[in-house]
Amino acid sequence: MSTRILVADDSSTVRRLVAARLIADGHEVIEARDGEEALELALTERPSLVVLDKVMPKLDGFEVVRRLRENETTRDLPIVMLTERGSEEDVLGGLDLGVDEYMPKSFSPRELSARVARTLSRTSGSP
Amino acid sequence: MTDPLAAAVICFASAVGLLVVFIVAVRLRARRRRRREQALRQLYEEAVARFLVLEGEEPLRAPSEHGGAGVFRSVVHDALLELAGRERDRLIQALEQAGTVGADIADLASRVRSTRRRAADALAVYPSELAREALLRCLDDEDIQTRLACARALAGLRAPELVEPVLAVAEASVDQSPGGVAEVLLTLARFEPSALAERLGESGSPALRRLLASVIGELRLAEGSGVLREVLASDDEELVARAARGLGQIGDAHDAPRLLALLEDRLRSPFVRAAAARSLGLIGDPSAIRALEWALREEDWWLAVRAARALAELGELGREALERAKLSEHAWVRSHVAAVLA
Repeated sequence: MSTRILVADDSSTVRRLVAARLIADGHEVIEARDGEEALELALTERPSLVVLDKVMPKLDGFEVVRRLRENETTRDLPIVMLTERGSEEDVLGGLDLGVDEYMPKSFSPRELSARVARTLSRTSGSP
Repeated sequence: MTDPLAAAVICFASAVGLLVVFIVAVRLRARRRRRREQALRQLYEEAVARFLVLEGEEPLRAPSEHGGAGVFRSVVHDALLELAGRERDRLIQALEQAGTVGADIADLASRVRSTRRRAADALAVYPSELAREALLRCLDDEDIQTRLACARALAGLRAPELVEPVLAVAEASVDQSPGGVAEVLLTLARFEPSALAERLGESGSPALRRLLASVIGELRLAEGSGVLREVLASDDEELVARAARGLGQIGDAHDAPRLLALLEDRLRSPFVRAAAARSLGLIGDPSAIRALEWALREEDWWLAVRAARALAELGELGREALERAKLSEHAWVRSHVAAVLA
Protein backbone atom coordinates (compact mmCIF):
# COMPACT_ATOMS: atom_id res chain seq x y z
CA MET A 1 0.00 0.00 0.00
CA SER A 2 1.51 3.32 -1.01
CA THR A 3 1.87 6.01 1.60
CA ARG A 4 0.91 9.61 1.01
CA ILE A 5 3.68 12.11 1.63
CA LEU A 6 3.36 15.88 1.82
CA VAL A 7 6.31 17.83 0.39
CA ALA A 8 6.41 21.48 1.45
CA ASP A 9 8.99 23.85 -0.02
CA ASP A 10 8.70 27.25 -1.66
CA SER A 11 11.11 26.18 -4.41
CA SER A 12 9.30 24.39 -7.23
CA THR A 13 12.62 22.82 -8.25
CA VAL A 14 13.07 21.21 -4.85
CA ARG A 15 9.46 20.03 -4.77
CA ARG A 16 9.86 18.46 -8.21
CA LEU A 17 13.13 16.72 -7.31
CA VAL A 18 11.81 15.35 -4.05
CA ALA A 19 8.42 14.37 -5.49
CA ALA A 20 10.00 12.51 -8.42
CA ARG A 21 12.22 10.54 -6.05
CA LEU A 22 9.38 9.66 -3.69
CA ILE A 23 7.00 8.71 -6.52
CA ALA A 24 9.70 6.44 -7.94
CA ASP A 25 9.83 4.83 -4.49
CA GLY A 26 6.12 4.07 -4.77
CA HIS A 27 4.66 6.85 -2.65
CA GLU A 28 1.84 9.21 -3.44
CA VAL A 29 2.96 12.84 -3.18
CA ILE A 30 1.07 16.07 -2.51
CA GLU A 31 2.84 19.43 -2.63
CA ALA A 32 2.63 22.69 -0.73
CA ARG A 33 4.27 25.97 -1.73
CA ASP A 34 4.29 27.68 1.64
CA GLY A 35 3.78 27.07 5.34
CA GLU A 36 0.09 27.91 5.39
CA GLU A 37 -0.70 25.54 2.55
CA ALA A 38 1.45 22.85 4.21
CA LEU A 39 -0.52 23.14 7.43
CA GLU A 40 -3.86 23.06 5.63
CA LEU A 41 -2.95 20.01 3.54
CA ALA A 42 -1.49 18.18 6.54
CA LEU A 43 -4.82 18.60 8.34
CA THR A 44 -7.11 17.82 5.40
CA GLU A 45 -5.19 15.21 3.40
CA ARG A 46 -3.80 13.23 6.36
CA PRO A 47 -0.42 12.32 4.88
CA SER A 48 1.69 9.60 6.47
CA LEU A 49 4.76 11.82 6.56
CA VAL A 50 5.75 15.41 5.84
CA VAL A 51 8.96 16.62 4.17
CA LEU A 52 9.19 20.23 5.24
CA ASP A 53 11.55 23.06 4.40
CA LYS A 54 12.62 25.23 7.31
CA VAL A 55 12.47 28.53 5.43
CA MET A 56 9.13 29.20 3.76
CA PRO A 57 6.85 32.18 3.22
CA LYS A 58 3.70 32.84 5.26
CA LEU A 59 4.59 30.31 7.98
CA ASP A 60 8.10 29.00 8.47
CA GLY A 61 8.85 25.33 9.00
CA PHE A 62 9.22 25.60 12.76
CA GLU A 63 5.82 27.23 13.15
CA VAL A 64 4.24 24.52 11.00
CA VAL A 65 5.82 21.84 13.20
CA ARG A 66 4.66 23.61 16.33
CA ARG A 67 1.05 23.76 15.14
CA LEU A 68 1.07 20.18 13.92
CA ARG A 69 2.33 19.00 17.29
CA GLU A 70 -0.36 21.01 19.08
CA ASN A 71 -3.13 19.36 17.06
CA GLU A 72 -4.32 16.01 18.34
CA THR A 73 -4.77 14.50 14.87
CA THR A 74 -1.25 15.42 13.72
CA ARG A 75 0.67 15.26 16.99
CA ASP A 76 2.49 12.08 15.97
CA LEU A 77 2.83 12.84 12.27
CA PRO A 78 6.41 11.98 11.21
CA ILE A 79 8.31 15.03 9.94
CA VAL A 80 11.55 15.21 7.96
CA MET A 81 12.91 18.74 7.89
CA LEU A 82 15.18 20.25 5.23
CA THR A 83 17.58 22.60 6.98
CA GLU A 84 20.40 24.95 6.04
CA ARG A 85 23.75 23.17 6.00
CA GLY A 86 25.73 23.72 9.19
CA SER A 87 22.85 25.32 11.04
CA GLU A 88 23.09 23.93 14.52
CA GLU A 89 20.26 26.27 15.57
CA ASP A 90 17.92 24.68 13.02
CA VAL A 91 18.68 21.18 14.23
CA LEU A 92 18.43 22.04 17.92
CA GLY A 93 15.27 24.05 17.44
CA GLY A 94 13.67 21.24 15.51
CA LEU A 95 14.68 18.63 18.08
CA ASP A 96 12.92 20.70 20.73
CA LEU A 97 9.76 20.75 18.64
CA GLY A 98 9.82 17.05 17.84
CA VAL A 99 11.09 16.82 14.27
CA ASP A 100 11.89 13.17 13.51
CA GLU A 101 14.66 13.45 10.95
CA TYR A 102 16.86 16.06 9.27
CA MET A 103 18.26 16.55 5.84
CA PRO A 104 20.69 19.45 5.43
CA LYS A 105 20.65 21.27 2.11
CA SER A 106 22.35 20.73 -0.36
CA PHE A 107 20.97 17.20 -0.32
CA SER A 108 21.01 13.98 -2.25
CA PRO A 109 17.47 12.84 -3.20
CA ARG A 110 18.62 9.24 -2.75
CA GLU A 111 19.71 9.96 0.79
CA LEU A 112 16.45 11.79 1.47
CA SER A 113 14.58 8.76 0.17
CA ALA A 114 16.49 6.53 2.60
CA ARG A 115 15.74 8.84 5.52
CA VAL A 116 12.07 8.95 4.62
CA ALA A 117 11.94 5.15 4.48
CA ARG A 118 13.73 4.86 7.79
CA THR A 119 11.41 7.37 9.45
CA LEU A 120 8.32 5.64 8.11
CA SER A 121 9.47 2.24 9.28
CA ARG A 122 10.52 3.58 12.69
CA THR A 123 7.27 5.41 13.33
CA SER A 124 5.08 2.60 12.08
CA GLY A 125 6.67 0.30 14.63
CA SER A 126 8.24 -2.03 12.06
CA PRO A 127 11.68 -3.45 12.92
CA MET B 1 -11.58 76.88 -40.21
CA THR B 2 -10.73 74.28 -37.65
CA ASP B 3 -10.95 75.34 -34.10
CA PRO B 4 -7.31 75.09 -32.84
CA LEU B 5 -8.46 74.12 -29.37
CA ALA B 6 -10.56 71.27 -30.71
CA ALA B 7 -7.63 70.14 -32.86
CA ALA B 8 -5.32 70.19 -29.86
CA VAL B 9 -7.79 68.18 -27.80
CA ILE B 10 -8.17 65.61 -30.60
CA CYS B 11 -4.38 65.29 -30.93
CA PHE B 12 -3.96 64.94 -27.21
CA ALA B 13 -6.72 62.33 -26.96
CA SER B 14 -5.18 60.38 -29.85
CA ALA B 15 -1.77 60.44 -28.20
CA VAL B 16 -3.22 59.23 -24.91
CA GLY B 17 -5.17 56.54 -26.75
CA LEU B 18 -2.05 55.34 -28.55
CA LEU B 19 -0.11 55.33 -25.30
CA VAL B 20 -2.80 53.24 -23.57
CA VAL B 21 -2.85 50.77 -26.46
CA PHE B 22 0.95 50.55 -26.34
CA ILE B 23 0.99 49.94 -22.59
CA VAL B 24 -1.73 47.29 -22.80
CA ALA B 25 0.11 45.55 -25.65
CA VAL B 26 3.38 45.55 -23.72
CA ARG B 27 1.70 44.17 -20.61
CA LEU B 28 -0.15 41.49 -22.54
CA ARG B 29 3.07 40.46 -24.19
CA ALA B 30 4.88 40.35 -20.85
CA ARG B 31 2.08 38.26 -19.34
CA ARG B 32 2.21 35.80 -22.25
CA ARG B 33 5.98 35.56 -21.89
CA ARG B 34 5.67 34.90 -18.14
CA ARG B 35 3.10 32.16 -18.73
CA ARG B 36 5.27 30.56 -21.40
CA GLU B 37 8.28 30.69 -19.09
CA GLN B 38 6.28 29.17 -16.23
CA ALA B 39 5.12 26.35 -18.50
CA LEU B 40 8.67 25.79 -19.75
CA ARG B 41 9.98 25.90 -16.22
CA GLN B 42 7.61 23.17 -15.16
CA LEU B 43 8.56 21.10 -18.20
CA TYR B 44 12.30 21.38 -17.51
CA GLU B 45 11.93 20.77 -13.79
CA GLU B 46 10.12 17.52 -14.52
CA ALA B 47 12.70 16.57 -17.14
CA VAL B 48 15.58 17.17 -14.70
CA ALA B 49 13.79 15.28 -11.92
CA ARG B 50 13.03 12.30 -14.23
CA PHE B 51 16.60 12.28 -15.48
CA LEU B 52 17.95 12.07 -11.94
CA VAL B 53 15.47 9.51 -10.69
CA LEU B 54 15.51 7.20 -13.71
CA GLU B 55 19.34 7.09 -13.68
CA GLY B 56 20.25 7.03 -17.31
CA GLU B 57 17.00 5.70 -18.76
CA GLU B 58 16.03 9.15 -19.90
CA PRO B 59 18.71 11.50 -21.21
CA LEU B 60 18.63 15.20 -20.45
CA ARG B 61 18.30 17.15 -23.65
CA ALA B 62 19.18 20.76 -24.21
CA PRO B 63 16.01 22.80 -24.78
CA SER B 64 14.86 23.40 -28.30
CA GLU B 65 11.84 25.55 -27.47
CA HIS B 66 11.96 29.21 -28.32
CA GLY B 67 13.21 31.16 -25.32
CA GLY B 68 13.91 27.90 -23.48
CA ALA B 69 17.65 28.23 -23.02
CA GLY B 70 17.43 30.89 -20.32
CA VAL B 71 14.67 29.06 -18.43
CA PHE B 72 16.53 25.74 -18.68
CA ARG B 73 19.68 27.34 -17.34
CA SER B 74 17.73 28.83 -14.42
CA VAL B 75 16.14 25.45 -13.58
CA VAL B 76 19.48 23.65 -13.72
CA HIS B 77 21.10 26.41 -11.68
CA ASP B 78 18.44 26.06 -8.96
CA ALA B 79 18.69 22.27 -8.99
CA LEU B 80 22.48 22.31 -8.65
CA LEU B 81 22.28 24.72 -5.72
CA GLU B 82 20.05 22.22 -3.91
CA LEU B 83 21.76 18.97 -4.88
CA ALA B 84 24.72 17.14 -3.45
CA GLY B 85 26.45 13.85 -4.12
CA ARG B 86 26.08 11.60 -7.10
CA GLU B 87 22.98 13.29 -8.47
CA ARG B 88 24.84 16.59 -8.66
CA ASP B 89 27.75 15.03 -10.52
CA ARG B 90 25.38 13.28 -12.93
CA LEU B 91 23.58 16.50 -13.70
CA ILE B 92 26.86 18.25 -14.45
CA GLN B 93 27.84 15.37 -16.71
CA ALA B 94 24.52 15.62 -18.52
CA LEU B 95 25.07 19.34 -19.07
CA GLU B 96 28.45 18.56 -20.58
CA GLN B 97 26.87 16.02 -22.95
CA ALA B 98 24.02 18.36 -23.85
CA GLY B 99 26.46 21.06 -24.89
CA THR B 100 25.43 23.57 -22.22
CA VAL B 101 28.87 23.61 -20.67
CA GLY B 102 30.47 23.95 -24.09
CA ALA B 103 28.31 26.96 -24.87
CA ASP B 104 29.37 28.63 -21.62
CA ILE B 105 33.03 27.88 -22.31
CA ALA B 106 32.67 29.56 -25.70
CA ASP B 107 30.98 32.54 -24.05
CA LEU B 108 33.99 33.02 -21.78
CA ALA B 109 35.80 34.26 -24.86
CA SER B 110 33.06 36.74 -25.76
CA ARG B 111 34.01 40.36 -26.29
CA VAL B 112 30.94 41.40 -24.34
CA ARG B 113 31.76 41.69 -20.65
CA SER B 114 28.26 40.79 -19.42
CA THR B 115 28.32 37.58 -21.50
CA ARG B 116 31.67 36.55 -20.06
CA ARG B 117 30.43 37.31 -16.56
CA ARG B 118 27.21 35.33 -17.03
CA ALA B 119 29.15 32.36 -18.44
CA ALA B 120 31.65 32.46 -15.56
CA ASP B 121 28.80 32.61 -13.02
CA ALA B 122 27.13 29.61 -14.69
CA LEU B 123 30.34 27.58 -14.66
CA ALA B 124 30.75 28.44 -10.98
CA VAL B 125 27.40 26.72 -10.35
CA TYR B 126 28.26 23.62 -12.43
CA PRO B 127 32.04 23.37 -12.31
CA SER B 128 33.23 21.12 -15.09
CA GLU B 129 36.68 19.78 -15.91
CA LEU B 130 36.01 20.61 -19.56
CA ALA B 131 36.13 24.28 -18.61
CA ARG B 132 39.40 24.16 -16.70
CA GLU B 133 41.69 25.70 -19.34
CA ALA B 134 39.21 28.39 -20.32
CA LEU B 135 38.64 29.29 -16.65
CA LEU B 136 42.36 29.53 -15.99
CA ARG B 137 42.74 31.93 -18.94
CA CYS B 138 39.87 34.03 -17.59
CA LEU B 139 41.65 34.59 -14.30
CA ASP B 140 43.28 37.48 -16.19
CA ASP B 141 39.98 38.97 -17.33
CA GLU B 142 39.76 42.74 -17.06
CA ASP B 143 36.44 42.42 -15.21
CA ILE B 144 36.90 41.62 -11.54
CA GLN B 145 33.54 39.85 -11.15
CA THR B 146 34.38 37.55 -14.06
CA ARG B 147 37.77 36.79 -12.52
CA LEU B 148 36.17 35.96 -9.18
CA ALA B 149 33.45 33.80 -10.77
CA CYS B 150 36.18 31.87 -12.64
CA ALA B 151 38.07 31.46 -9.38
CA ARG B 152 34.91 30.11 -7.74
CA ALA B 153 34.40 27.69 -10.60
CA LEU B 154 38.01 26.49 -10.37
CA ALA B 155 37.69 26.08 -6.59
CA GLY B 156 34.68 23.84 -7.25
CA LEU B 157 36.80 21.49 -9.37
CA ARG B 158 38.41 20.25 -6.15
CA ALA B 159 41.88 20.00 -7.61
CA PRO B 160 44.77 20.77 -5.22
CA GLU B 161 46.90 22.23 -8.01
CA LEU B 162 44.25 24.90 -8.62
CA VAL B 163 44.32 26.23 -5.05
CA GLU B 164 47.31 28.50 -5.69
CA PRO B 165 45.91 30.34 -8.76
CA VAL B 166 42.53 30.69 -7.00
CA LEU B 167 44.10 32.21 -3.90
CA ALA B 168 46.25 34.48 -6.05
CA VAL B 169 43.10 35.96 -7.61
CA ALA B 170 41.54 36.25 -4.15
CA GLU B 171 44.55 38.13 -2.81
CA ALA B 172 44.64 40.49 -5.78
CA SER B 173 40.90 41.24 -5.52
CA VAL B 174 40.24 41.41 -1.79
CA ASP B 175 40.49 45.19 -1.48
CA GLN B 176 38.14 45.85 -4.39
CA SER B 177 35.62 43.10 -3.76
CA PRO B 178 35.83 41.54 -0.29
CA GLY B 179 32.35 40.02 -0.67
CA GLY B 180 33.29 38.32 -3.94
CA VAL B 181 36.51 37.01 -2.41
CA ALA B 182 34.56 35.69 0.59
CA GLU B 183 32.43 33.64 -1.82
CA VAL B 184 35.57 32.20 -3.41
CA LEU B 185 36.98 31.28 0.00
CA LEU B 186 33.69 29.71 1.07
CA THR B 187 33.71 27.55 -2.08
CA LEU B 188 37.34 26.59 -1.51
CA ALA B 189 36.62 25.77 2.12
CA ARG B 190 34.06 23.14 1.09
CA PHE B 191 36.63 21.16 -0.85
CA GLU B 192 40.08 22.20 0.41
CA PRO B 193 39.61 23.51 3.98
CA SER B 194 43.24 22.98 4.94
CA ALA B 195 44.31 25.31 2.12
CA LEU B 196 42.69 28.21 3.93
CA ALA B 197 44.50 27.42 7.16
CA GLU B 198 47.83 27.11 5.34
CA ARG B 199 47.39 30.46 3.60
CA LEU B 200 46.45 32.19 6.84
CA GLY B 201 49.68 30.92 8.35
CA GLU B 202 51.73 32.61 5.62
CA SER B 203 52.46 36.28 5.42
CA GLY B 204 50.57 38.16 2.76
CA SER B 205 47.77 40.62 2.26
CA PRO B 206 46.38 41.65 5.68
CA ALA B 207 42.90 42.00 4.19
CA LEU B 208 42.99 38.43 2.85
CA ARG B 209 44.29 37.05 6.13
CA ARG B 210 41.48 38.76 8.02
CA LEU B 211 38.92 37.30 5.64
CA LEU B 212 40.50 33.84 5.95
CA ALA B 213 40.26 34.05 9.75
CA SER B 214 36.59 35.02 9.49
CA VAL B 215 35.75 32.22 7.04
CA ILE B 216 37.55 29.60 9.14
CA GLY B 217 35.61 30.75 12.20
CA GLU B 218 32.23 31.00 10.46
CA LEU B 219 32.58 27.52 9.01
CA ARG B 220 34.00 26.20 12.29
CA LEU B 221 36.87 24.53 10.48
CA ALA B 222 38.63 22.66 13.25
CA GLU B 223 41.68 22.20 11.01
CA GLY B 224 42.10 25.96 11.22
CA SER B 225 42.24 26.13 15.02
CA GLY B 226 46.02 25.79 15.15
CA VAL B 227 46.70 28.71 12.86
CA LEU B 228 44.04 30.87 14.56
CA ARG B 229 45.89 30.33 17.84
CA GLU B 230 49.21 31.36 16.25
CA VAL B 231 47.61 34.46 14.80
CA LEU B 232 46.55 35.66 18.28
CA ALA B 233 50.13 36.89 18.72
CA SER B 234 49.89 39.15 15.64
CA ASP B 235 50.19 42.94 15.75
CA ASP B 236 47.21 43.24 13.43
CA GLU B 237 44.41 43.94 15.92
CA GLU B 238 41.65 43.29 13.40
CA LEU B 239 43.17 39.92 12.55
CA VAL B 240 43.55 39.00 16.21
CA ALA B 241 39.92 39.94 16.91
CA ARG B 242 38.69 37.76 14.05
CA ALA B 243 40.90 34.88 15.13
CA ALA B 244 39.58 35.17 18.70
CA ARG B 245 36.02 35.20 17.39
CA GLY B 246 36.79 32.19 15.21
CA LEU B 247 38.13 30.19 18.15
CA GLY B 248 34.91 30.93 20.01
CA GLN B 249 32.86 29.72 17.06
CA ILE B 250 34.90 26.52 16.79
CA GLY B 251 34.28 26.12 20.51
CA ASP B 252 37.26 24.12 21.73
CA ALA B 253 37.39 24.44 25.53
CA HIS B 254 41.20 24.17 25.42
CA ASP B 255 41.29 27.67 23.94
CA ALA B 256 39.66 29.27 26.99
CA PRO B 257 43.00 30.06 28.76
CA ARG B 258 44.34 31.79 25.62
CA LEU B 259 41.20 33.84 25.24
CA LEU B 260 41.23 34.66 28.93
CA ALA B 261 44.80 35.96 28.60
CA LEU B 262 43.66 38.12 25.68
CA LEU B 263 40.73 39.51 27.67
CA GLU B 264 42.99 40.41 30.60
CA ASP B 265 45.69 41.99 28.41
CA ARG B 266 45.05 45.72 28.86
CA LEU B 267 47.61 46.53 26.18
CA ARG B 268 45.22 45.08 23.62
CA SER B 269 42.50 47.23 22.10
CA PRO B 270 39.00 47.01 23.63
CA PHE B 271 37.82 45.64 20.31
CA VAL B 272 40.14 42.62 20.59
CA ARG B 273 39.29 42.09 24.25
CA ALA B 274 35.57 42.27 23.42
CA ALA B 275 36.03 39.52 20.82
CA ALA B 276 37.79 37.39 23.45
CA ALA B 277 34.92 38.03 25.89
CA ARG B 278 32.36 36.97 23.33
CA SER B 279 34.26 33.78 22.56
CA LEU B 280 34.58 32.90 26.24
CA GLY B 281 30.79 33.11 26.45
CA LEU B 282 30.46 30.80 23.43
CA ILE B 283 32.93 28.26 24.84
CA GLY B 284 31.18 28.39 28.21
CA ASP B 285 34.13 27.96 30.52
CA PRO B 286 33.19 29.14 34.05
CA SER B 287 36.84 29.91 34.86
CA ALA B 288 36.34 33.10 32.82
CA ILE B 289 33.64 34.51 35.11
CA ARG B 290 35.94 36.52 37.34
CA ALA B 291 37.76 38.15 34.42
CA LEU B 292 34.45 38.92 32.72
CA GLU B 293 33.11 40.47 35.91
CA TRP B 294 36.15 42.77 35.95
CA ALA B 295 35.60 43.60 32.30
CA LEU B 296 32.09 44.87 33.18
CA ARG B 297 33.80 47.81 34.88
CA GLU B 298 35.65 48.84 31.74
CA GLU B 299 34.66 52.19 30.41
CA ASP B 300 34.63 50.96 26.83
CA TRP B 301 30.96 50.31 26.15
CA TRP B 302 31.47 47.50 23.61
CA LEU B 303 33.84 45.53 25.83
CA ALA B 304 31.57 45.86 28.88
CA VAL B 305 28.45 44.80 26.96
CA ARG B 306 30.24 41.83 25.44
CA ALA B 307 31.43 40.80 28.90
CA ALA B 308 27.86 41.09 30.23
CA ARG B 309 26.47 38.97 27.40
CA ALA B 310 29.18 36.36 27.90
CA LEU B 311 28.29 36.14 31.60
CA ALA B 312 24.65 35.64 30.65
CA GLU B 313 25.74 32.56 28.67
CA LEU B 314 27.69 31.05 31.55
CA GLY B 315 24.79 29.55 33.44
CA GLU B 316 23.89 30.13 37.07
CA LEU B 317 27.32 31.39 38.14
CA GLY B 318 27.38 33.89 35.31
CA ARG B 319 23.92 35.17 36.22
CA GLU B 320 24.95 35.54 39.85
CA ALA B 321 27.89 37.68 38.72
CA LEU B 322 25.49 39.86 36.75
CA GLU B 323 23.19 40.21 39.77
CA ARG B 324 26.16 41.38 41.85
CA ALA B 325 27.07 43.88 39.13
CA LYS B 326 23.55 45.33 39.30
CA LEU B 327 24.55 46.72 42.68
CA SER B 328 27.72 48.35 41.34
CA GLU B 329 28.57 51.87 42.44
CA HIS B 330 29.20 52.75 38.78
CA ALA B 331 26.15 53.80 36.79
CA TRP B 332 27.53 52.58 33.48
CA VAL B 333 28.09 49.09 34.88
CA ARG B 334 24.49 48.97 36.11
CA SER B 335 23.20 50.11 32.72
CA HIS B 336 25.24 47.49 30.80
CA VAL B 337 23.91 44.75 33.03
CA ALA B 338 20.34 46.05 32.85
CA ALA B 339 20.51 45.99 29.03
CA VAL B 340 21.56 42.33 29.03
CA LEU B 341 19.16 41.17 31.73
CA ALA B 342 16.18 42.93 30.11
